[in-house]
Amino acid sequence: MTKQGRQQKISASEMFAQRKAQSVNPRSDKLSDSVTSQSALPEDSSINSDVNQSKGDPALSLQSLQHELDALPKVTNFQLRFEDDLKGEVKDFAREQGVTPETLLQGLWTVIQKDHPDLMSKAIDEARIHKGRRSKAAELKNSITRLSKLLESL
Amino acid sequence: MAKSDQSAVISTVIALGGGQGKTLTTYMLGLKSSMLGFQTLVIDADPQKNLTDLLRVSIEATEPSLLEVLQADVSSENAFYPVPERENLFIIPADRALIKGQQYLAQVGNSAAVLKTRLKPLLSVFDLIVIDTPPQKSHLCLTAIGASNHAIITAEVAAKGINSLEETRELIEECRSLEAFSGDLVGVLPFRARWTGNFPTVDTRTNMELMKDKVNELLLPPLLESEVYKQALNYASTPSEINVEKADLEHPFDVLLHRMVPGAPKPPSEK
Repeated sequence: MTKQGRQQKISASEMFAQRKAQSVNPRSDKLSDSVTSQSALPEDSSINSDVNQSKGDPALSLQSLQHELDALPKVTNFQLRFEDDLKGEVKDFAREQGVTPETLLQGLWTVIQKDHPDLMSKAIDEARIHKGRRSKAAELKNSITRLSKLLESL
Repeated sequence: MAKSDQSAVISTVIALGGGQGKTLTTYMLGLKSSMLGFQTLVIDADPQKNLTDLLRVSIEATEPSLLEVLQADVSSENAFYPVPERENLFIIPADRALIKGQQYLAQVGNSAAVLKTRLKPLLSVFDLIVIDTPPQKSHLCLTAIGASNHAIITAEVAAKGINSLEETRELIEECRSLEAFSGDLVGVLPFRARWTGNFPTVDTRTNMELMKDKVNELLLPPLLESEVYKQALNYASTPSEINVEKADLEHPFDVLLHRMVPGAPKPPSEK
């Protein structure tokens, strides 16, 4: 709801889309918090060895860490919506395998594209079925909203 | 739809008792406000994270949540997320680790001022911010009250609810006397009122009269107990989206929005 003639500020959607993704130290609700910032780092001895090698020079240590970070792929937010049952399956499976749902999907995408392109068309067929279900749900919601507004006006 | 120039209305939904309808009220105000086109933010300030779950929002332990906002680890601008399939509706979510926010706020000392400060970057972005609070007189509850310019009390139409209503009103007045809250008590929402046919049950009528004696014109139209609400919550919908004939169930929220948000439509006369 806006008033004519007033300047529009940035919308929440625009702010969300434009912001840089930010990670935080992993949260835990455990009473004895054993999660430290170290455990959030990837298992890579080169990071620790870089720090050890440049122990006497913090600036050098920072630079080498930054170079290493710059060499890794950038990560951005990618909001996904899943069917409830599948979401539970994916989350549980990822947790059991010690990965995250996002990295599991990245792994699947990479493997299918690189090593099993024959599976891609099957995956797309399956995706079209899922998309069809969502489109139907959206149509039904729209129809319900329009019809209810029509009934209100009568 | 981008926001107008007015600063956000910030409302907190409070009850010092569990099962009093706080989360449902926050959920419904958020959905209905966003459906009217208002840029709406809901904040889950309860470590039980029921609001976050109802709106089907899921964040990783390394993604910003309300805890990090309170602790000033991230700006509130970086901690809100769109609610799936809901244009104009966003959430600052919680998970169980939010309980640690209690410790942080206790150390800070003036917990009532913390969330108010943290929300400043969002006042020009949103039309309405609604905060769901935990059912205790805790620092998390105080920081939500301190951030708000409106308070809504929810209370079950039963002895338990009337006790909770009394305690919650006392808390708001205590915050006011300490200058931690300078806003308005917008209304008291009777929750789980039971009707048989067109009439309230004896218990409901008795308890509603007790509530009316205590709060007079602040008493809002009651929220009726209905299976339709349970269905709506299961589908992250509103009752009218589940069944268009049940739009009447949403009337208390239409009244609340009209009272709080400039430009919100006036609902039909109270039933």
